[in-house]
Amino acid sequence: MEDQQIIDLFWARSEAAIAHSEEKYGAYCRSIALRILTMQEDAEECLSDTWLAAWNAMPPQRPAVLRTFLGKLCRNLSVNRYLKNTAQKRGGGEVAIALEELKECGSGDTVHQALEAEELTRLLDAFLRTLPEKECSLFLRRYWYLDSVETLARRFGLRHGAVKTCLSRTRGKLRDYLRKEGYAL
Amino acid sequence: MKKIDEKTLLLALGGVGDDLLLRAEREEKPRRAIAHFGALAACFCLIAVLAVPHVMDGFRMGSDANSAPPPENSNGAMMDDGDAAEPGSGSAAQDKGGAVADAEGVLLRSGAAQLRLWGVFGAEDLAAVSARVRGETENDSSTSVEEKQGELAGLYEMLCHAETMDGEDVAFSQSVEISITLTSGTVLEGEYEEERGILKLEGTAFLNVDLSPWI
Repeated sequence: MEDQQIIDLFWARSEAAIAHSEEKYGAYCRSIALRILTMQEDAEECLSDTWLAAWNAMPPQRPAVLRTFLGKLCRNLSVNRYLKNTAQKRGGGEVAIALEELKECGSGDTVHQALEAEELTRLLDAFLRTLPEKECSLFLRRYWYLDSVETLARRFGLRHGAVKTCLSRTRGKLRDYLRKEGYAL
Repeated sequence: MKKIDEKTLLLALGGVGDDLLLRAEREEKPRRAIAHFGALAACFCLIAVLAVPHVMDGFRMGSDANSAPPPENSNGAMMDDGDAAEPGSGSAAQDKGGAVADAEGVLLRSGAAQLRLWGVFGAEDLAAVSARVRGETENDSSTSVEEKQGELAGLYEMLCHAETMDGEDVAFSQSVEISITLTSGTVLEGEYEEERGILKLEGTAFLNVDLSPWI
């Protein structure tokens, strides 16, 4: 089924939209989730959350590229789950949970953070467009798709060390770029 | 200066443009190591091909310096390779070089150069050619003898244009004994295999020749 037809189904509030999305992009989203989470159960839960998030997002949204739209939803859900899992495993669990609880109370900072994240995304997008195509793809494969260095070396036909050097150089460029824009890590 | 952490950065990266993501998803075609070696090998081959004529020239010049002086022509003048090249041979470069190397490095000499070594500078130096047809088996030799006076000019032209190589390793199963008598009285003995078109004369093999008109 064409992407446009699937989007129309979402807009028509037809549950067939989820079935068709899963059929067409289930494997793609699962691979993204599995690279981030490694645990099959967590990945499956994120996948279910992805279809739900897509259901909630359409309407009002009408994505230009359904594949990347679903991929982004799945990635963000997976990264959030990963960060949550990591925080819980870090011993000082109570502190992390307390912070989570305080967040739920609403410190009034959420809107500010969301705006900041949006601004940061815009800057990252602009930065990536200044890079040569291969360097940009290498960076995204590493930090968006979370591919391992070994996988990147195979994919791009480079040596392990060359991949690491290229990524390190790009990170340096990004640091300088963000500094100029008033951000510091 | 606003502070951000790596988690924020990782999450913010999630919203970059679709076109960038689609581009990153495209399969890269890695340049295989074999392609590098192939390119390197091709370079070496090119260098070798370009260098061979110079190396052969060097050999020839060294050989000329160490060997006896070139043969005299009928006027008593010393002849160099260029002078010795036969008119109308059409392969002046080959004759001038005198020798080239084949792919396996075996030294080849042009037919004209080889004939010059035997004192044959033109068709007029050939007096006669005779062929002695051998029998089918080794023991049944000299079953018939046939002599033919062929068109010597044609024979000379053909031998001039033929490539030659050391004939010691060339083995014949069924062959025709060939004798070429020169006007000087020298007789060049050899054998010829029609199937492969090889004439072995005084230990030198002439390749791709057709002696059928003289057999």
